[in-house]
Amino acid sequence: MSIVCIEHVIKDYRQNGIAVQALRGIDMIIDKGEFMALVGPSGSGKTTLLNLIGGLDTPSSGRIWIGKQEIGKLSKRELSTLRLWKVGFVFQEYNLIPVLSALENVEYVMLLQKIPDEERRKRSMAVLAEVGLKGLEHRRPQELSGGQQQRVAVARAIVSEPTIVLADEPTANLDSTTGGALLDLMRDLNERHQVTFIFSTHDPMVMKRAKRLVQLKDGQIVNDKTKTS
Amino acid sequence: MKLLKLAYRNVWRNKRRSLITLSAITVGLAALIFVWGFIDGMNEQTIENSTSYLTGHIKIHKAGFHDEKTLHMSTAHDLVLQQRLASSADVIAIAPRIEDKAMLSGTDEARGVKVIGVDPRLEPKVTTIAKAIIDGRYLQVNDVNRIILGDKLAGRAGLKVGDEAVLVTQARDGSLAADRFQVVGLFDSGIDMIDASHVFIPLSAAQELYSLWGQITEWALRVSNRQRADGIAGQLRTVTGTDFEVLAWKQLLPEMVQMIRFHEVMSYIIVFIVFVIVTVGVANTILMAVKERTREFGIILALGTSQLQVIQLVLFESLILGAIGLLLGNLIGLFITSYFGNTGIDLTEYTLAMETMPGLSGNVYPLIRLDHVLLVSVVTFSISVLPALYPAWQVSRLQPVEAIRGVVRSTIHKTWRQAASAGSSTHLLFWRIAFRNIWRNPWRSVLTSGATAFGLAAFVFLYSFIDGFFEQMIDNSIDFSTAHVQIEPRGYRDDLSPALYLLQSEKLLSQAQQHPSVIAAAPRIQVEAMISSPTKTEPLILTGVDASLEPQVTKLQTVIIEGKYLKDNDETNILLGRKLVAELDLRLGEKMVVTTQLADGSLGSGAYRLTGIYQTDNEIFDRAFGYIGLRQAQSLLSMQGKVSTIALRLQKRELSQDTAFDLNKDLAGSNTQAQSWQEIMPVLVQMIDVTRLMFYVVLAIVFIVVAIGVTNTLFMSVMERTREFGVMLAMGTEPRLIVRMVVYESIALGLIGIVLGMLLGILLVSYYGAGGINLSGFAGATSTIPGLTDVIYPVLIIDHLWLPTVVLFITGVIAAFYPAARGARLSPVAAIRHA
Repeated sequence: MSIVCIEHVIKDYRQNGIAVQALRGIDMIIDKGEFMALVGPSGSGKTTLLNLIGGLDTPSSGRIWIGKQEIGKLSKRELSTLRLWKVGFVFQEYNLIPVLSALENVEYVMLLQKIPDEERRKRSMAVLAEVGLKGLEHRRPQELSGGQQQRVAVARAIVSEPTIVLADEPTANLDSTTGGALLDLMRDLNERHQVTFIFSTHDPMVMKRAKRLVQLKDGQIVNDKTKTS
Repeated sequence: MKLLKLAYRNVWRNKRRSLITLSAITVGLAALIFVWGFIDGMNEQTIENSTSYLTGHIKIHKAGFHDEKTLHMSTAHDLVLQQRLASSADVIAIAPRIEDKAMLSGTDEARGVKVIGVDPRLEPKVTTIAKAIIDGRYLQVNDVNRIILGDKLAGRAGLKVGDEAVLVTQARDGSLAADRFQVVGLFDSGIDMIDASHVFIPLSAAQELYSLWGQITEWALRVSNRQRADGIAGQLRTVTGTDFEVLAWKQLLPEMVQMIRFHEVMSYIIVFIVFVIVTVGVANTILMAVKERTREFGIILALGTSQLQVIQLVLFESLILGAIGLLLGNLIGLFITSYFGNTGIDLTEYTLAMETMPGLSGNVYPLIRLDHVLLVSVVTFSISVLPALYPAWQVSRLQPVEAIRGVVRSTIHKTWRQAASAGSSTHLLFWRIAFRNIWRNPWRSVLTSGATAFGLAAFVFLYSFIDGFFEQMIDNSIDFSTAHVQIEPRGYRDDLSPALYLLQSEKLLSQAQQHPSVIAAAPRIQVEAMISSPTKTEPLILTGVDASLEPQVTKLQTVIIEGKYLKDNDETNILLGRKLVAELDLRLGEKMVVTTQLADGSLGSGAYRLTGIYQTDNEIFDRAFGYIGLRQAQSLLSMQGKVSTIALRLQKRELSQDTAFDLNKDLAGSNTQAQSWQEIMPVLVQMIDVTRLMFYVVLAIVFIVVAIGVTNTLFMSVMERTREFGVMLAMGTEPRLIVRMVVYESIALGLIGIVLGMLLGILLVSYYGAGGINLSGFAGATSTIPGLTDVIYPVLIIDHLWLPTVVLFITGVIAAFYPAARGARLSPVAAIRHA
């Protein structure tokens, strides 16, 4: 069952006054439960595509559907709601809210979703335990290591059970052992909960674990390969 | 040079931040220039008008005359000496005069006046009353018994051009002297003190009236430079010798000099408050601007830049901002000041209050004084540069690697972090985030809340000081002279005419006593008179009081320092203030003569013995009033059984207006009215209003600067957290929630500042409220204000403070909306990319 449908998407933007075409006609379908990676050199359009899929940005032309909603036709507020309920994000630089504890960071999205206190707390504690952070729930981000922070970010991304989790270079700031462990964790979540993960990455570890590799170059898909396990 | 260029580019890299900093410096500096210009203008007008209309720059008397002021110390009109003085360097003009007091009888009633005998040819070269004639003409050389007088005095005495007036006085030989004068002109100097109490007659007529043939009491001089009057007076002493005293205007008008000093001290305090708030605003911005760029400074250091160069770079940045702020602040401040300097600021609504200050009238013309402009410019420039030293020093000590990684040591206490971790709604979450953000950058929060707290504390303290000042003025006026409410014939208060009295006063008295608010009532008679000791004559407001009822209404009996209060059966006793007793050189038990005009226009006089001396520490009370028994006053004024006033004391002062209103309902249609103290003392009410007005101007400046500070802090805070907001937006946080969070931060910051400011202000007020603030250094200034003594006790009146506090709070919250909106409008993609 497809959950993301991308139809001939083009994205132009201006950088320091110069027009740049970041995506030049992308067509792609992503099914539920995929564990896929967008790969390619810097400037190939990986992050731009990820931002479009996440509803952080809208295409210059072409169409993107997340489920039955077409992103280009949504208002800012509707995009906000879409992101709240359907998308989870993991960023390269963790980007936790520094004044909130690990637990509060994980609870944040559910608070916006107005999930009752008790359920919110229960789910957050469970997810934090699942990502291996039991006992560290009340620590602030600056009291956690990089790997631990990224685990909090993953917990935050999956706790509200989004349709897709977008991870932009999630292992770039981590050492290989920590990065590998984090990827195993995400892979496990993918397999057990059928959470769809889309990565943008240069990291061979990610590429090795991804079930589908989409290679981008100069804003176009040059290769789209699904591994057979 | 390269560093300077880099600094210049850094300043313009973040235009919004630089503009906010610039606006803090510019608004602060422009406001300071204007406020100081306003006070300087007021002072200059006071000096210029007082010296140019009346006093002249220098006066020469017989030695000792200035203290004694008796006609016995007059001097021969020595034309040779006059010529020698006139030909001295720096002397522009000289005019001989006779100055003394007399009683002026017009068509209505008598008034005590100051008589100035002038040479109509020479006087206009020294003073400028001739230019203030609004009806008729000035005195002419051949005038004999001609008189000019102020329009206010003429109105009260019922005189107009062409009428005849009589001056009655004590001549040099002690005899009672009187002369008739024809009014030839009326003047309006705009200065109440001159227009209501001064008359000018030809010198020859004054010599005749006072039996001073061939004599004068003084020479008045105009010199080339008023500022140098002291020095010029010193030179002239070598011409006059020691038989004469040569006094410059500062010695002639000591009360005015002290009042100006008082104004200057007040302006220093105001200027200081604005300085502190501007300093905090600027320090805050510079601190943030540096902290925001920790990573960048790390790179600069890693590239081999020395610590000193980093400090220089930061200093250069603030120097550039300071210089631009200096230029803009001066341009705007000087423009506004010179604009109003030409057009004047119309305070005619407060004319009565303004005219209580000698030399001031309804229009104030701000004045640019270059020394003050230079001083505020130098200080503002310094405060816009010096706060950069701390962050510059901090940055220079950074470890490049840590700085590049953007490591900022957390100073948050652990217990704070773990506090308030519970909570359910998004409101609570955003409150929590707001509070924690405040502690995330404690310096910034301390500076912002500190500025708010300082501004508010200063305001609370100054306002309480002013409230104390006014409470004292009102209480003293009510306790010693004016009652809470007075029932009088209509028009009586304008001229205290003995022709006006209360009909059926007994009935009015008993009616008033029945009013539930009234706790005491006393009948009175009040009239203008002259009091003469063997050597001197002084004007007097003579009050006839019922010795047993009056002490229930006023408290004069509590401030008798010598002798005793009046008694019911006193036949000839009089009670006088300490100052007047000193002026008249009287001792307890000695006799004096009081002369006044009766209802039929004839003069009446009575001899009284000094039975008691009172002291209220206020010169006006202690010099202008005298008290005798009610029956004695009735007898002196041929008003047997009649009274002019029923004075009422109420349960509370605040009931005055309501009680007067109630009483007036019963008095409707009659020629009698009840007036509250506010109506009886409009000058006092206006003084309170005008002072409050000035305080609101200061408050407005404080508000603007605090608002800029809050905007600045929150703006920095939003900029610093661009990526964080981006992430929040990416996770589905609605923009309005971002606005809410930033506004919550401002509410929290504002609350902290306001609570601290209030506490500090209240502490200061309580401390000084108990001990009082001694203003005896400005004794002259305070004694010119009715009802005021030397020690001021600040009073906290919450009614006066809650509104400005709420407005300050709202200002801070409103100021948060701009940075909040900016945070909410961020594009998540760009924000997440933000370095």
